[in-house]
Amino acid sequence: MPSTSPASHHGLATLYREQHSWLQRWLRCRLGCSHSAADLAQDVFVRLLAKTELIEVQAPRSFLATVAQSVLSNHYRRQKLEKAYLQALATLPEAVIPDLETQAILLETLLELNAVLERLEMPVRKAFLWSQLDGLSHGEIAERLQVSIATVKRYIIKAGAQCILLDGGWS
Amino acid sequence: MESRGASSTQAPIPLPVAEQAMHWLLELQAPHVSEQTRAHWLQWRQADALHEMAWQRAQAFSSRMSSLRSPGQRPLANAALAPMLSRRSALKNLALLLAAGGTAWSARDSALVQDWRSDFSSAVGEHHTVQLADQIQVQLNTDSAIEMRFDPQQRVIRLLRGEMLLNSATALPLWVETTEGRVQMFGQQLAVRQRQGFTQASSQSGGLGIYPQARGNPSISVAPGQVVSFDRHSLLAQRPLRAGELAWSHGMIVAQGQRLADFLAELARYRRGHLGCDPSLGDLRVSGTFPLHDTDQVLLALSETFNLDVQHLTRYWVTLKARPNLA
Repeated sequence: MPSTSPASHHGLATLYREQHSWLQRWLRCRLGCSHSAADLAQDVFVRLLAKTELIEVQAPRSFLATVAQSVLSNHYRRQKLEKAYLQALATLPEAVIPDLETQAILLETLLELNAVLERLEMPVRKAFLWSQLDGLSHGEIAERLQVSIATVKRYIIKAGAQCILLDGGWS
Repeated sequence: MESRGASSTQAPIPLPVAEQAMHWLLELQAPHVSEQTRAHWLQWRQADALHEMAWQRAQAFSSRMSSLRSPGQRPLANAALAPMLSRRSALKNLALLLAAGGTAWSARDSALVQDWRSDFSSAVGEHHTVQLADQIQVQLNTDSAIEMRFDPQQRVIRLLRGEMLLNSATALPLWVETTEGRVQMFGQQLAVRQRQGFTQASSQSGGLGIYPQARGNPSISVAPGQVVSFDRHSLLAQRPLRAGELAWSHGMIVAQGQRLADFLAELARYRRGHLGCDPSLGDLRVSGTFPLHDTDQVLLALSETFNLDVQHLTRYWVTLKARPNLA
């Protein structure tokens, strides 16, 4: 069976036709909102479109549910972060509120950072944020984490490298 | 991470190279950097094109992080990222949210908050046409939002941000509200733009009336083909509408002998981030009609016309510079 990209897109079209409304119902049950369910169902298929390998459709529903689960948790993460962000924004003094453009960039940066840090262990996250955001010295961080300065550096390098690898996200 | 389509990325950077770039970033951020360290760093950069690429990314990353530390951004970054440092702090945030109640939410008008309460909005670079009741058509330019209040006596559209073009043949009074006051549409067409601290309005047919908020009646009437600016108290300026000024409604931007600096400021509305040019180039005169759907293409066209370099410090910081003269 050829595994070219058009073939997999053909499979995707079938999947879409047969399972789209099921997927939307599945999402609606979990979200309680048909509007976002439609958006997220769309996201699921867009995500599948980006994949180049042939899509296995032996158990289409469980396959779709797996992808949908990850789209869903992304959605919740994003919502949570935006909420915390807006709450902080509301308490900021007028004079220092960034302009709207800066805010848009900032929020995107924060979502990217959040996604990167989530995949890393707690001490790595801490070392990275304390150094890059709070400006603590490596010595101070070493003391707080009860590790050597060399380890602190290793942590920061580890997290920073993941940020650099983000596809075009910073440049 | 999935690729986001055709970007500037060529070969992927291997993890060890990214780590080396971060290593050098930390080395160079140290209070005292020896000549030897600098030499090694340069050597490393020049050893491989991938090293240089990773270094450029590391620098972009570093500048993004340093803007995150500015007074306006740091509290936001901290609040957004804090929950991932401990479970307890997530709970604390929630408690804070409950304690703050509704009051903290009502105060500010950020783009995000506006999108929640607006009826229609467009993101940066977008252009939407919205068909409303009564054959009222609204076009939203980039980064704009409106809210509607329609009742049996009148139609009121509140422009929360950005710019809109109205076409309508409704028999009812039609108003556009901005931060500075109200604009009444007398003809079939009306353009309104919310700017920083003032409102700009024009009509190609039928004219319009303005009611600055603090002035009360009567209105100031404006003839068709004129652009007016007003603040809460009075009329600030009036001039004829330039040809092509509303070209955005056709997806175009038009310059007729405009200063390069002014043209870039206008173009910047259609893309995220900073767009500027070297001060020495600000007075170059730009003429032309450009499509708005791809502002990078516009920059490319400009750079070719004037022999300029388009420098991307980051994806969001673009500067036009004079091309070094090699002759």
